[in-house]
Amino acid sequence: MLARFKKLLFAPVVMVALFVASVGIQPASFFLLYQPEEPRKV
Amino acid sequence: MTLRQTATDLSFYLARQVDLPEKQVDSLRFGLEIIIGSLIKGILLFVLAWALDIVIPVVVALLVGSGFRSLAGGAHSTAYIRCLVLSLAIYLLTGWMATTYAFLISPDQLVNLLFIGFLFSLLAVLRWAPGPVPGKELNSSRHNQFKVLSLLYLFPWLGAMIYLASQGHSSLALAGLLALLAQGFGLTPMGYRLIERYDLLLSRNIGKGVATNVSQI
Repeated sequence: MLARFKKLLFAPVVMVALFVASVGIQPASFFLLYQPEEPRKV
Repeated sequence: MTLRQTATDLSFYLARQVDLPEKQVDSLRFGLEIIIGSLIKGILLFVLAWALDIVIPVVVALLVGSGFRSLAGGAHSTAYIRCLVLSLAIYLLTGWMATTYAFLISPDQLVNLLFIGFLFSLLAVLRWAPGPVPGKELNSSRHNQFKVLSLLYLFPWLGAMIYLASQGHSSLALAGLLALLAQGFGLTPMGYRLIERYDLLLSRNIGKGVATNVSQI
């Protein structure tokens, strides 16, 4: 029950983070001075 | 505890909770690092700007600077904490200078300065944009695409700043000018060398990792 609740709770966070990662890997560099090390695979 | 470590730990925890395939965990870490880093930077910037009563000029500087930088690239710090310090310093200083010194410049002088800033940025874009960014290799067609987009960005910028100046918002137009000059300077070899020196200097005390990307220009 708790595991399912956590899955529902965290799934949107994970989706948003993966979306940001897919945008962040594009050439347009956001406006950040700091660029995190790119993921090994996207 | 670094931002990288926090994002890595959080990505493993979240991946376990939602049964994410292992090969996507590092992408999750990358996304979380961008989100957390941006949130910290954004919140700190607005809180400090609010405390200094320069929120609107800082917002204008942020819009101008971030828009231009997204297209034109530029020099980078190699550790988040040094990037944070530098970004906050640039935008807060821009907002503060614009608010404090705008009254010294007449509207006509400001328009002249806007044209000078436009020409400087135009030359910097023609010569150096898009500036190399770590991990973002551009092929020839993409390179040209971002150069053209960076050039096109400057025209609406000039129009918007002249409009602000003509409406009596000199401090906002000055904030936009200073932000563009800072980002334009960040494209030049001198800008890269300055960030490199800053990075090396502060790497002894703040954050890990050493510069540089100056050799890429």
